[in-house]
Amino acid sequence: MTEAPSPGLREHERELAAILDEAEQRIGELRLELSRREDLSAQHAELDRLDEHLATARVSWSEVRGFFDDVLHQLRGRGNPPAGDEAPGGLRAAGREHDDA
Amino acid sequence: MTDVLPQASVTSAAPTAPAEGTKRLVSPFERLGLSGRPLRTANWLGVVVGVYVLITAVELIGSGFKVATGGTAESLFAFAANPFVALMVGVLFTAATQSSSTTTSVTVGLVAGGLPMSIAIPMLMGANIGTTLTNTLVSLGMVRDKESFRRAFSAATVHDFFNLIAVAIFLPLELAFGVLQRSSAWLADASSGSDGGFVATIFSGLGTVVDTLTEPLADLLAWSTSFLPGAWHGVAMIVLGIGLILAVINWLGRLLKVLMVGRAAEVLHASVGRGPLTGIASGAAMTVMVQSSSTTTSLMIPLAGSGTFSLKQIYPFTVGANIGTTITALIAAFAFTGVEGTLALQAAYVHLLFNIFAALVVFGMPLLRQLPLRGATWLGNVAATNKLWAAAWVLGVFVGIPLALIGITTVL
Repeated sequence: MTEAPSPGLREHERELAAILDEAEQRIGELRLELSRREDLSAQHAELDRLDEHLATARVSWSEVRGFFDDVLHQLRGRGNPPAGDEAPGGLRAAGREHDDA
Repeated sequence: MTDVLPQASVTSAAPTAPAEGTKRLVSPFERLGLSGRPLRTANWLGVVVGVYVLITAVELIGSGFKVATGGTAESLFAFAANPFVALMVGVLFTAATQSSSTTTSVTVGLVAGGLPMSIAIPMLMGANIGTTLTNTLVSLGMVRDKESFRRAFSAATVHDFFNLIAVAIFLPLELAFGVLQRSSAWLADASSGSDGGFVATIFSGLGTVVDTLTEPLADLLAWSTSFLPGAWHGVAMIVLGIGLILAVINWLGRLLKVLMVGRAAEVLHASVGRGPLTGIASGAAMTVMVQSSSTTTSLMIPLAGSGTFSLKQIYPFTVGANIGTTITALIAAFAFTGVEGTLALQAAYVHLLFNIFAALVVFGMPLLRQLPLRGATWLGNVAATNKLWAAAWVLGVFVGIPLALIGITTVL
């Protein structure tokens, strides 16, 4: 049979638990803040390349055509997989240069 | 046609060396061997000439419309007397030209030439819907990666949903109460004419100067098509004016992107991490700088697709782009003076007020604000799973429904 901890020891354990909770909460907050700062940093980095983004952010008709080709294939029941699952048109389009760029 | 060059082929003053093969903006004058200060001067002169030609072309359209209709302007646009058809004309024309600025500038010219405001207002609203096609088409290019496509398509269609909801609210209000027609008329009266006070005096004086400067070229262009008989002369003037506007909007966009990229980056950097109002302001400011909402909204698609910017961050930016793009119609309105000037200015104000009211009501009301986000998120999810949804959306909203509505109304 073990002896019950004294009231002073229990109080001490509670304090330690509270300190631990607070530390965990702080760590969570710090992780959140760190993640937020990383996001902001990534956004600023992208904006530093605004020149490049403005030069390339335009309609690529070859990719649009590739997209609708895939949709037609899908409609004709040729077993085209859904978007993202290595779509044939996507692969076709991937090899093309931006025809309007 | 291109205005970009591989980055590796040019020298750059950028602090970090760009990756090989990346592209950068190139001014048309750079191809002539200009660089440094002479290049910058040439670019700005190119902008001035572009604005001059834009205003002249709008003036040509106004005159051409008068010649073509012979004072009965309603007759040429009788097919668009139904506001839904006029709306769809705006959607189709903007989708075809991929430029809302072209539609609004042409509309301003037509209004000055006698097009009834009741037809012009739905056309201007349609321009808002049609212009969203461009960034939606850009997002289709990201279909290779499912997750990127989901984010990119959502970012593109949040603009679609916002503008569709705005039209769904304001077109019925316009038909019932003439909200935009009345408010724009009041604003146009207050800022033009001889009895409108200080602002009107400034606007009127500016309009007279611009009109005097652009009149010789407008007359020359009108004369160049005068060999055509009667109404065909007017139609040729309109077609020439539209062609010039299309070319000059493209020209201005290319030059302004080169000239304003640094300032635009500063504006965007300052808005990162701030609230939605700053997002709206930065979207508007950037669109004013490059004179194209299609450019600013398309710019955000790869940034959203990569996951760097969230849908919630993109959304206010696109709302701001709607407001910023109205500057082109306001510039175009300076092509006219007197009564025509007041009407042209009123049409430009319709576009401005519609977009401000839409931002206040749709974005300002928490319940409505969520609708474009929810719609775009849902559509992005289903389109990423099955591309048929994306195809149906693009063809339905921008081609099928407009053509069907025009066809049905014409037949009935």
